[in-house]
Amino acid sequence: MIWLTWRQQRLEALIGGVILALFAALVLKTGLDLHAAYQSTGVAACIARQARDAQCQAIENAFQNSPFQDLSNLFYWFNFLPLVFGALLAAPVALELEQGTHRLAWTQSSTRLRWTAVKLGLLLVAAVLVGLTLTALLSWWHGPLDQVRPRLEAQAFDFEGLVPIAYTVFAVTLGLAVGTVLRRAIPAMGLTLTVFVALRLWLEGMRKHYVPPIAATFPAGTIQTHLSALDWVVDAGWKDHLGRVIDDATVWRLCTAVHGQGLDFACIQRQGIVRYAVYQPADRFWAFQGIESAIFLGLATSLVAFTMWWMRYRVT
Amino acid sequence: MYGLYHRQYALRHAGPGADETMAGTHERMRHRMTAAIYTTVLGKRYGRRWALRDCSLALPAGRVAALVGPNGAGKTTLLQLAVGLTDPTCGQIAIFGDPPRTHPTHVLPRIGFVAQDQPLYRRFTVADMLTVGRKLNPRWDDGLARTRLSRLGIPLDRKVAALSGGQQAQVALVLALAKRPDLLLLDEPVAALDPLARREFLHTLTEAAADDGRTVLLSSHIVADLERVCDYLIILAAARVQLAGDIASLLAQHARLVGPHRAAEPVALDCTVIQATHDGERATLLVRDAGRVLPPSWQRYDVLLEELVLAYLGQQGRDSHTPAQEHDREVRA
Repeated sequence: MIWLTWRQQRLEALIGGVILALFAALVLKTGLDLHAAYQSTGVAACIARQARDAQCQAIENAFQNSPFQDLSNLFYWFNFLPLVFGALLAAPVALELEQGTHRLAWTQSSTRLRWTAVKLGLLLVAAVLVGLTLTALLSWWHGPLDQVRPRLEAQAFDFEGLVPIAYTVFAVTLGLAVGTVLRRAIPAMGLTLTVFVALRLWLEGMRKHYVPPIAATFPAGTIQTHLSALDWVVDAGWKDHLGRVIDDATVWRLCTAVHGQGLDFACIQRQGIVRYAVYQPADRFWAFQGIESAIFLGLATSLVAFTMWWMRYRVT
Repeated sequence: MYGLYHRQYALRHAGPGADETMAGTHERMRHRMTAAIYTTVLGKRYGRRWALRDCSLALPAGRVAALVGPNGAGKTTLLQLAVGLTDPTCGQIAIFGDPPRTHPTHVLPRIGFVAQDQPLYRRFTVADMLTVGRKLNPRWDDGLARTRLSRLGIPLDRKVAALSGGQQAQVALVLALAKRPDLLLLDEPVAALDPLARREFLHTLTEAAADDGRTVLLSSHIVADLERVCDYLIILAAARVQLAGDIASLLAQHARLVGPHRAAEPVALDCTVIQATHDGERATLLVRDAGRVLPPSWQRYDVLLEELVLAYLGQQGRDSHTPAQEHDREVRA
């Protein structure tokens, strides 16, 4: 059965291997540059001595706004990788049902339950391995940037820790479930893509509510001393003396500095205006990773159970 | 299943004749254990449509049986129920005494199944297909598979997708045969083949069927092919069994009576009319269990298998209980 699964999927395995190799080459090449720049620009030294002085601030800002930021934005497209591998792993099963060869496999001497269990087991193992590779490479790549910007923000969070594994496992199980029900490979891929992207986007929007964020107000100009650059600021702005949110333009109108450069903090204080921020502290990273992984792995578990049930009772 | 009902009734009201009924029950039990396929009021419903209904039959081991019926008559459903690809909605099915769905590990190794359109892994080579068979079947006979394939001139290193339709059908049959099954089930094995490939396929099948004690059930809507290969007939139409039995006895039981149309009524009263046609003054009745004595103006002819099949298939509009059920009881007794 293991041999059969391998023989059936080896073309997809080869394609997946090539994609993974190209991906790894790209990540390694740019990642080495990124790590080198982290050292050479002096960011590493600033971080090491936990310096908050203006010079280090400038260095860190420069590093954040370097071309690596653009690259990081480009890497956002890697969000589709779990889906690509999910489709590659799950499609042969849908194709098997489409072409009716499962009737051949299920009428040999071993049971369809065993067939389903072995297939699902192997595909899940493959999904976990792919997920591990993704997270290992991308977590390493993001390492330097994670020292200067919030790791809880999507452009880092989606590629680090546990979630890439959870996404990949979920994509495979979703592809299997949809493929088993539709029994058509191409429509199954389409539906899998739609559901996966919709769910990921929706949860990405919901993420900041996983744990209630902290809301705080600070005197103007002191926000940097209260918040770390690594905290994830969900919302920030100004409040007047009555606690109403007011926009930047109002503040500027009221309290532009005499020389016309920057804000007059003394004026702001006189007006009773304060800065407020709603944020998720950086140390919640692993809690958030755990919650999001649990959601996707929980869904994956239900999908596996559903697929087993459907294979057992509904497929002829 | 009137038979079963009557027996249970008789058992509960044990009176005269109860002993005989008991003997009948034991006979039925024995039959159930030895029959290759044994079904009781088997039914399968997809949504609101019954694909198979009230199917009660016993296919004795060692027969080569033809399952005949128009498209959509329930042939595929019956075969899929037999191999456990699908669950019955009601009733039971047993293969050599074991229900295939609940005891797949008993049933599957004994069945060689070739599904409709002979599904094979198109990306595999023929040798790969043999490896599949070897890895998934403990009773696999690799020598047999290789011998047959080389005799058919099918190269082992050829990709399945590159084989002709006839060759693919042959590979599917070889895969089923190398399991050394006690029961071979074939769903429309020759439907897609050209006449030459069809003849070659049936030749391989006849050889295989000759193996000791092997039971074969193949479905088809081409009667001419079956006549050469089969000795047992099951007619399915409109989701029900219309007729089942040994072909020779079925042919002996039926007759074509030809005579004057105006005198048809009394003749028809004396037997079961399966099909009646008349052409002007001449009436032709295809009947079962015709009386020995016919009115002088009438003549009796033997029926051909194809005629018999067509007559029963033409019946499907009618309430089909009578002949099938009557016969059913007879098969089991």
